[in-house]
Amino acid sequence: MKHRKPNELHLKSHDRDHSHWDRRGFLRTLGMAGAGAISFGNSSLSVVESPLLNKALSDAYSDRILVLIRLKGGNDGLNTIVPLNEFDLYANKRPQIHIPENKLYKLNDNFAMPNFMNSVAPMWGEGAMKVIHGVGYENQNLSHFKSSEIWATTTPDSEISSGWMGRYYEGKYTDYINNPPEKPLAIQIGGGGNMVFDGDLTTYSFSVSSPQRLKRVAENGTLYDNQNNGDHLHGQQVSFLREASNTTFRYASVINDAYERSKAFDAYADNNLDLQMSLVSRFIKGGLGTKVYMVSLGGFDTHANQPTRHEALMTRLTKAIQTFYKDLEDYGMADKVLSMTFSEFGRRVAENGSNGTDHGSAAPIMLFGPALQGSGFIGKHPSLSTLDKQGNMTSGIDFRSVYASVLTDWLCADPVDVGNAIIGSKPDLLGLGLGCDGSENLTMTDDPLMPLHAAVNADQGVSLYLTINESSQVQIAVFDVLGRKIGNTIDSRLSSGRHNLSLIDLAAHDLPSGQYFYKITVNKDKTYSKSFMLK
Amino acid sequence: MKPYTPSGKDQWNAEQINLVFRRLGFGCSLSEIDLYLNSSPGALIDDIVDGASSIDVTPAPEWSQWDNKQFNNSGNNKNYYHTLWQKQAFKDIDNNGFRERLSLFWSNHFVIEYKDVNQPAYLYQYYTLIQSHALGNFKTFVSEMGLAPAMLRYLNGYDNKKNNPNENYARELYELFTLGEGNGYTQEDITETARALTGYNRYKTYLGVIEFNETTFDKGSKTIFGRTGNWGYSDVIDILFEEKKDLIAEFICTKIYRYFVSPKVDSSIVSAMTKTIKEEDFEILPVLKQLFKSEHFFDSVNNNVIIKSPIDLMLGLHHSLSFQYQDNVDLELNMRNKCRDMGQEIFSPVDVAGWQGNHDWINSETLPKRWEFADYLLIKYWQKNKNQFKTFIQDLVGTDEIDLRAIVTQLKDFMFCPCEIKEEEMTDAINTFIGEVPESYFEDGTWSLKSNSVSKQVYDLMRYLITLPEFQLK
Repeated sequence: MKHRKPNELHLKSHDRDHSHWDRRGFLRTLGMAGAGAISFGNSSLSVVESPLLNKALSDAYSDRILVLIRLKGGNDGLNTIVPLNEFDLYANKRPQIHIPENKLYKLNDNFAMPNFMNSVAPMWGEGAMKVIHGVGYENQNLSHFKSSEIWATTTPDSEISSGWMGRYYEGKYTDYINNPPEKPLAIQIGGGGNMVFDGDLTTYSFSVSSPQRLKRVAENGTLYDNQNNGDHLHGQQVSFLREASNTTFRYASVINDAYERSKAFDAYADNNLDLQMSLVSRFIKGGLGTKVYMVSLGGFDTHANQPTRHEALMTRLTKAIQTFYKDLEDYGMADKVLSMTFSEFGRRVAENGSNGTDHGSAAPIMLFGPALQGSGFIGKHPSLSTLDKQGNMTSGIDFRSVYASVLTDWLCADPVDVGNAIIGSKPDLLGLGLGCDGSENLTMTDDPLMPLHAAVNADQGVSLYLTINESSQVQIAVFDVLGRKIGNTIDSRLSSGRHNLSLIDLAAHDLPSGQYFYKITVNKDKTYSKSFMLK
Repeated sequence: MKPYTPSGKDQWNAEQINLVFRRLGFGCSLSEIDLYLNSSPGALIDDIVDGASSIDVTPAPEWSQWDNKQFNNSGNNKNYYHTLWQKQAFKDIDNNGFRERLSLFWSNHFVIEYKDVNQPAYLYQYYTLIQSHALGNFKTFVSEMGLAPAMLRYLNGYDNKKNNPNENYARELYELFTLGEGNGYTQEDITETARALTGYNRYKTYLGVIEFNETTFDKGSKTIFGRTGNWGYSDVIDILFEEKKDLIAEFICTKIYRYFVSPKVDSSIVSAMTKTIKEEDFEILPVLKQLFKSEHFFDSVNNNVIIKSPIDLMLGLHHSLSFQYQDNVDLELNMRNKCRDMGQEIFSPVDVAGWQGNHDWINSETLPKRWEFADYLLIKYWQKNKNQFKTFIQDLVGTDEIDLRAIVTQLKDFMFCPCEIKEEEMTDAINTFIGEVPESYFEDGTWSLKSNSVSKQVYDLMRYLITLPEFQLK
């Protein structure tokens, strides 16, 4: 067409500016990093690349990984952690389905777990398992759906449709939608309807409905299979659209890269949970950079024939956890991975008439991983003699406190971010003591860099105070949460003693408040990094 | 062209009704399917086409004949009125189905861009011209379109004067509106035609009515398609339709075919259409009815081969579900903005040739928006009334169905008109539908389509289905 009006194309690109773009929709399938891309027809402006993101993150505390293991249906806590101190009462209330004493593995004088969970007994022995007693919340809701929702959103308020991890990420990654990270922040397998990773603006996890699906993505590096669409016009159109979707969905290729970089561990069994754990392990070993994973195991709604069903489930769960940590240990990553089980509720203390249990309330949460540095119990087991009118136990620890503690003590979240994530009631920190106090990277006494370095917000910007023992070449760079470098790198030889260096000069850089990282390299050898909040 | 008569294994069914409404309108609701299940293809097409031809044009707003001064004195800028009318167009699309499907077709044929015209009253006049001729006579339509003030402004007919001709409109009249590029005309024809089209160069008041001005009309002799005379505006149209009848008929029928049936043209069908439109002296309605009632139109080979335009995507979903929408949201404004962001701002096609559609709609910028905006609609329905998702599935499959695959398949078929998806995605869809329901509920019969969880299950399933690549097809 020759006779276009002049300046047509020029005008068009101006018209299509994004200022009116209402972004409050939310992307279920996520990972469409293209959502932040800006391209006008054929001319495509490059997306802000953040290759340094994972570097910056993993140089700080982000090599820590959290695996949430959802036990869907309501796990029977009393047949998971059996109270020996109230054993008679326990056995009386459950004449048909209690675990007999000779089939228990004693964790200490007061508590035991069934022998069918013995796969994790070595972890208990090695200090890699903790049990938090009686976790639940006030006014327990006995609907699977509502209670799952409460565990995800942390509030009974139905108007809230964001989950705790979603709000955590939303507070941390304020520019997420325009500049999504190169790697998925979280991966959720199964349970796409669960709201844990939903924020108000978007969903912060890459979510797949089944591990088989995830495996295919990992193997092929594409979201959609684009074979055998047929060569009639419909098939051609489907091929075109599948190709476009695959191109747009960029996380598939990074997932594939991580998968390819890692080796399979052959001890996993051939079942759905083992497949999930083996995939998570491949991604961790392959350096994907995703920090939070959620896997799920269903079938815990044991209203009938509980003994057989529960035994099968707990056997599967504990075997999978054992294999997972063995796998990670061989790779030297076990101490970087904390796993946590949770379920929408526990079950009724008394058994029902069909060899099962009905919906209950408080139940234990189990934590696994050598990073725990010591096995044991947290909290007090609820009494079996003082039950509510439905015959359920009273929770001692609110699940929100567990979330807040894991965020604070394992993911080293700032109190502000924890405050964003956990709503509904004020959490108490359980003090898991997992080393987020900043000392972790700075305990080497023969280091030239002593004692602590600290970033301080001043009116003009952020200064770094650091003290070094001996004259060293010091490089300091600052990154934003997306891994983009801010300002100039300091690179100079510092004499021994205390120094005050300007990290960010706010007069030169108008930066939004939020989380940043600095990275210090001493003598081009040792590297330290730490996050700080710019208020 | 053989008319379609359902028989044997080709029973008249919901899928075919759905197909008709998708192509001729913007999707079809369950109640529309119910309405026509006991009807026939011919009766359905008659209803839709005759119905559209009996709809009045959209009532004129107070500013429909204002000139520039009146707009300037009105207290609102022109953008205000433009947006108002874009919203009105979306309202009309939502209400009028096929008639506005045609309006969209014709406004992408006789293209103007409202920002270039920059006169809201001209936009209104252009719009109602399209509405009133959408099923009228193509020759008359062409003739009147060339004198629409919006077009005189957009393609410089207003600037086309004796001694100072502007060829823009003459060229597009042949290249884009009637013949096709380089098809049956020469540069001399364009030059001469431009001279014959001169004279529409005088505002009665500035940016008000445009009058014919004898003094700027080129009265000299012109030779157009080999015919010489002192031709003026209506002579050009007469000569064009007399001399180039066959080419025009084929050109416009091909365009209609591509828009309503398939991007891949079946030449035998187009030649039958061409024959009809010539026999009917360029009446539009008969050829459309002939096409829509044909066996070819219902041939499943042509199902799901067209990539939805943004308006198809949004309005199609909205109309087919017919769900309540959040009250505090300006639906028309939302539709207008979101379609614009996906590359289809109404009355502002990408250029004078219009949106080319098909693969042009899809790139790594628009595709995520398509996912997001379709999702946005579902979210708004959900926020308004969760229960409507449950009622809908019950209306679609009944309350007794408990086979998950059967339920998912029926919803997929309804939303995809139907379109086969891969087993892998089918499994995903079923898993998504199971969602948060404990496995035991399916085993022990606790779960049914009456369960409380169903609303959320259907909502999640729909949110999954709209992300599938196949959802972009119609």
